[in-house]
Amino acid sequence: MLEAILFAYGEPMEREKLSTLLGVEQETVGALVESLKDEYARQERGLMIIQQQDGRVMLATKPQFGEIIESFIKEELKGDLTPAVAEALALVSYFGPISRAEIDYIRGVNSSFILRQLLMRGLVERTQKGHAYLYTASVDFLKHVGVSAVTNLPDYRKYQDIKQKYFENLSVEVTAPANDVSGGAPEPVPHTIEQS
Amino acid sequence: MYEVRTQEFSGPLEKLLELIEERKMDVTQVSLAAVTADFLHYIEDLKKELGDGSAAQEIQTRFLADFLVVAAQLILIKSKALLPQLELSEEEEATIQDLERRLALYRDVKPIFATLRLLWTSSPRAFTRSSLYQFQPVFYPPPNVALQDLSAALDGILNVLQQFLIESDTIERQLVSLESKIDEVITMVSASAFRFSDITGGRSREEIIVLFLAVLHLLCDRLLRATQQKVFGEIRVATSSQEH
Repeated sequence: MLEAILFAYGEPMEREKLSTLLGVEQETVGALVESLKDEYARQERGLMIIQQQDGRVMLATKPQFGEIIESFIKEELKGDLTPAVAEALALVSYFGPISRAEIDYIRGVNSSFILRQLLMRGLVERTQKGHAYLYTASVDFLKHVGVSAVTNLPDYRKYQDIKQKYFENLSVEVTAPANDVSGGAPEPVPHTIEQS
Repeated sequence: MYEVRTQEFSGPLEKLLELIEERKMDVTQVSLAAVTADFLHYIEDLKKELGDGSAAQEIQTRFLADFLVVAAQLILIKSKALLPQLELSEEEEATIQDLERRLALYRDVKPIFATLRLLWTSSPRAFTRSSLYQFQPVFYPPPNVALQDLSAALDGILNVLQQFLIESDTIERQLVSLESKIDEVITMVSASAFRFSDITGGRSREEIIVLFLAVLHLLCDRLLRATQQKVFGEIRVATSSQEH
């Protein structure tokens, strides 16, 4: 039934909603999703489950069939990314949820404009946490790179460790300037980095 | 758009790393001191590249600001390298260490940028089925709708729209010709001298103004004489030969 619901819905669905529809506890939803993933892992299945960092799931075709599907569905052309866009997108996908201040700290440049671009292109999503905004990769991003979840990005764990190593001993607080051009509420000064 | 241009340039950390790696050095205070001059030159070049113009100014300033922060830190490092006996405050030491850390972090994290670009351009993608994919827009009226209802509805909309149409009436503008007024004044004054207030009765404001202009013109051409006893007082108009 989970499969049927996800197929019909056509959008990422929250765990709570699934729990209500299926009439089970949320933990059970988690287990059901995992068993569906296992089912799809079998080679002959053509679908996979895309999962966002907040737990929302949706059905998608496996990337290995991407080429043949592209032959009859005309999607946008895959242009190259500018270096700045690639940097911001990489940081959001590998280290999301991440604040603009942290992105600026790592890149060494102000990223408001780039983040606003990415928001408008629908490649990045934003949620509010306290006074700050946290950025995460969107479903569109995952679809585009053919990855079912950010945790499946190449060497994902390795980079989590790297980030951990550097931010562990950080005594300097990462501060954000008062005006966030990406269109969000002003981020307060100072802003401490939280351990993931 | 100007902001897009700044995307083509490497940021300060990237540039710094580039300079250090060019010399096949590691990220240390020594190497940072070594590349300080080059980095400062780069900023000068950037300023020239980014160009001038008021629109560019704000963006240029913001972009360069990030460079200046790093430049300041580098100069501090360089100073320390040149003057080993130089004592730095705790804050200054922390700043230096922060630059070293940021640079090392950038270096270690950098590979994901290339990975992502590769994934983006060459990885085959996944497709999803949006739920409304099947649905084509269709006109779906309720069963008891008759032609009159549709017609009445359309009329209703048009009436509402009327309110938004700016009302335009043709306003006839009365153009009063100076020449005709000059002729008038000449005719009147030839008959007899007159007082200006006597001839203004029953005339529109525009007419009176042009009449007055006509009098001024004729005065100018010395075809008339006019007298006024006091400010804003009566004006007597007469020809040169007439009695006032």
